[in-house]
Amino acid sequence: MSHTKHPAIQGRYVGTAVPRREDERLLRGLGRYLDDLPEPGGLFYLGFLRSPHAHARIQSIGLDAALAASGVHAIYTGAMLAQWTSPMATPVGAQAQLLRHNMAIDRVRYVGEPVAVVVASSPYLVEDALELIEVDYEALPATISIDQALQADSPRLYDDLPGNVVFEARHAVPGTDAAFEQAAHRFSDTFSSSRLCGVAMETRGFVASFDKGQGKLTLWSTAHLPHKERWEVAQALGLQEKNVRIISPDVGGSFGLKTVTHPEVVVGAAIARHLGRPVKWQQDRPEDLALMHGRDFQFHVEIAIDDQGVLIGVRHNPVVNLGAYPLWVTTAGLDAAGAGHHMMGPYKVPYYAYCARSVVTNTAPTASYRGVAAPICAFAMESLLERAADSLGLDPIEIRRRNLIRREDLPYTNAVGVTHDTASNIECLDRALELSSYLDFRAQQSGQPGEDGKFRGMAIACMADHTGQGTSVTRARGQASRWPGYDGALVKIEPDGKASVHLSLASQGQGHATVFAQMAADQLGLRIEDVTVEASDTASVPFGTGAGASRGAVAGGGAVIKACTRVADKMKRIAATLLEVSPEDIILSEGTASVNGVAEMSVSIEKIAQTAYMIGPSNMPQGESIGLDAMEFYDPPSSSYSMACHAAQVAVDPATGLVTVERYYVVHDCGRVLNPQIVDGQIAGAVVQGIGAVLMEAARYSDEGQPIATTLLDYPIPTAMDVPEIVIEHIETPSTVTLGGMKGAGESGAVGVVPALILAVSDALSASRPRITTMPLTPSRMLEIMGLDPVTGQGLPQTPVGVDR
Amino acid sequence: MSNEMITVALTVNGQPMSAQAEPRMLLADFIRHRLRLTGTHVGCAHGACGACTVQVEGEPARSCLMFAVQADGCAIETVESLADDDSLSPLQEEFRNHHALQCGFCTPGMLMSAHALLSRKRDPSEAEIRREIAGNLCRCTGYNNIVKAIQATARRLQADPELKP
Repeated sequence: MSHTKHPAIQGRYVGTAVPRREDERLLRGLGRYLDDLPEPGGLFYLGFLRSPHAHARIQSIGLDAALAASGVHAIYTGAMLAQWTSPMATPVGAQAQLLRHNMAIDRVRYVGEPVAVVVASSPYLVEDALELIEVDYEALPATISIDQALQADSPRLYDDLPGNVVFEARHAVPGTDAAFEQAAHRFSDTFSSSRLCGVAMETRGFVASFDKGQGKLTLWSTAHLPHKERWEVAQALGLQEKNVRIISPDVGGSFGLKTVTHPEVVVGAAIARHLGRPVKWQQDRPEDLALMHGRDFQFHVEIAIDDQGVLIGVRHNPVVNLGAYPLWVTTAGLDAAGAGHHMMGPYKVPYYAYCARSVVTNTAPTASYRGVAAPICAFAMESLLERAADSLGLDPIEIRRRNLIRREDLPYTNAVGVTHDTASNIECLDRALELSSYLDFRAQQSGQPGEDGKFRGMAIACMADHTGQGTSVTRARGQASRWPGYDGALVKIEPDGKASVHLSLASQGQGHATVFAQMAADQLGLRIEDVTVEASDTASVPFGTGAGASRGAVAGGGAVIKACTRVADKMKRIAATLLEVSPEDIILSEGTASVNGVAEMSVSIEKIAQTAYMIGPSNMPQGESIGLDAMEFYDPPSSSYSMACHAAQVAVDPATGLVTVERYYVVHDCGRVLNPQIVDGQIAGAVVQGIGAVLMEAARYSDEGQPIATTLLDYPIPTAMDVPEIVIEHIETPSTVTLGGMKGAGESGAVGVVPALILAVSDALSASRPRITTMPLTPSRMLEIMGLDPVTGQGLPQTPVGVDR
Repeated sequence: MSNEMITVALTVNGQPMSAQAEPRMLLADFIRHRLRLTGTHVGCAHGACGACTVQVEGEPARSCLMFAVQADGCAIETVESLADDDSLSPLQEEFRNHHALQCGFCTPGMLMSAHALLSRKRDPSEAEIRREIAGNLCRCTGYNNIVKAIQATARRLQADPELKP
């Protein structure tokens, strides 16, 4: 495959698998995650009493016994917190707002909603006290599922709203309905994702400390988006943003779910202010499994195809279950509108229409989980295209070829107005077919029982992921409020000639300390050992959007390039003056500025820095400002699409229903690859999360709205025994719009894996041609799909299939 | 339930240490907050994720499923025992070489499980490696780089019989 190097970034470090700078201390056990931080003197611990009902009125709260318990300093309820904080408000349509009180006052709307908070001198005593609080509830009827929420007479969560649909967005290319009427073939079905738990290995938490004299709040927080959390906490507490500081410790994963500012943070900050004592809270794992949810989707999708298998149009009605309250940054609309935005994926779709809706239900509020809507969009499109191929007697690969955006089609502006400027879809497909020997397998093994009795299947999934969006796109998507779309970098060279980089993006494990050091070291001509990427601290990093939506390399990288360019240019000017040459003749490398072609004529970067800070023997050149630093922002002018083809082979045990993933391939194009090990790590990790989503994970609720999986024994995630070798190759088609040519890479592994695995399972069972539209494909579910009763092993009656014409 | 404080005296990473604990204090919390060895992490507190894995009397153990008082008089090893001041252990080096950690939260427990395996068996098969670390959950890496790192360490142990993992 071609590896084109973008002229903006190439050097000693970028593009190579530099071992991670952050690894040594993490390996030694010297990481500083939230619960590892030295605790401030006088610290209190918090614990939350949570509603055991999905929907109820709070009649009374009895605190006496709990207040008398050992070590308890105070207990607060929602009514008390309402005096110290503003509720969080989410717009609902043009007129209304949903108000979320930081702790429930008279009504709870999901199991787990905070009702009271204990403040005590040890976390163990907090738990003791929580058990002594007495709350009297009057249970109310609850609405749990999407289907229920869509019914007009379902129990309403909000008396002021006409129903439980809180967001609707429509879009239609004129003529779409007519095109569907006239189309030779239509295929449709409803594709659902089970709600998932993120299961970052570290749960959420914070330490809050308030300086009463200065009126300043300091939060050490696992927040994925520190500037957003700073704004939200400031607003909730009536503080000015400059008086709120968020310091990021090491964070143990997020996958999108720590982007939400949950009420516990606001409550904790308010208590710290009220008491003048620092407070700490770390969510426990049962809370995490009951509360940190995402991807509760139901997408009805219809495609119109002509006799050659070419897409005429796509129409869809995606519905997203928000849970009880819409959350920022997800808002009421991000996932649903995201489905509208992403459904077309890598395909040319002339006619396009959707009506996207979000509903509230008496379940935990959901946030955007890695991939947002795209995994289920890809699931729907790949499934329907395969059905169309089957119905028309077309090869499933050929139907993709006839519809994928090709290089000849560029630039291709899709039906929602986003332009594809790169398209290696065909190249990724061809290489994935070759790597995986897909065609031979399909000819010889698909759906056949092997010697071990297992049925094997393969599938490919073509996908494009929308990455690196800037302000123009966030505004168009209605997301701009405090999630603007640009990011910033402050690059400083100290008087001793070493550099520090301060980014508006916090890290949750993606390798920022390495990747951005690679870029800075190359541009500044320093050894990577002399460049440090600092942890996020809102007191010292530029304002920005933060990591997420696969934009770190694009937006952060662009900001680093711009800031380093300015610093490097100044270093070259100073060096040129010291060496009496022109700045264009200066090369920066290995800590030295030298004349191009004349290595002996050189000056150390340390000496340049001393000159810039006016502490060295040489004079500063005329017209230069003191110091050696630059702060720059990068706003990607458009989004950029990464694309990939995934290929998967699975084996199905007909006796137990167990699905094993045996081979997995990803051919991926994220433009300029900054560190291949890190990019591959992102893709592989996302694929394995997808193995979990497809085969084993579901955050289920009982009919009464009780979360069923509250331990890791009930909510299994993949282990080392569940994962095959994952072969990853790259095609580098640099973006033509981003500075540096990077495209995003953090989520696309999560997108292709869902269709690849589910369609591989269908292929394994191709004798019966099941149409699989839900997950997880647990062993008992698989036995049902195979027409067997999971308990008795006897045959089940035929189940109806999706609507086709 | 008695809340009286008990002195727990034990050997940690070869050093004698002691501190007070109430009877119900988890060993994981004791190591982290009484001894201030925060490399051992608590991921679930119900024995499912393995982030809290330490060695107790030479065997891997989930420190969230033990009370500190149960470790009185025992020798325990934590992740802080693997490296010396100057250099990482071969296993830790291979974790870095193979990008076997991303957020790093599961890593100490993963290292302790892998270290226990390699101390017992210097040439494990891939299947043995995967089974041994199946009780250590990781959400970031997808595990294969961890397996490769352990295999690379095993190769180094094969090449040098004196080498410790």
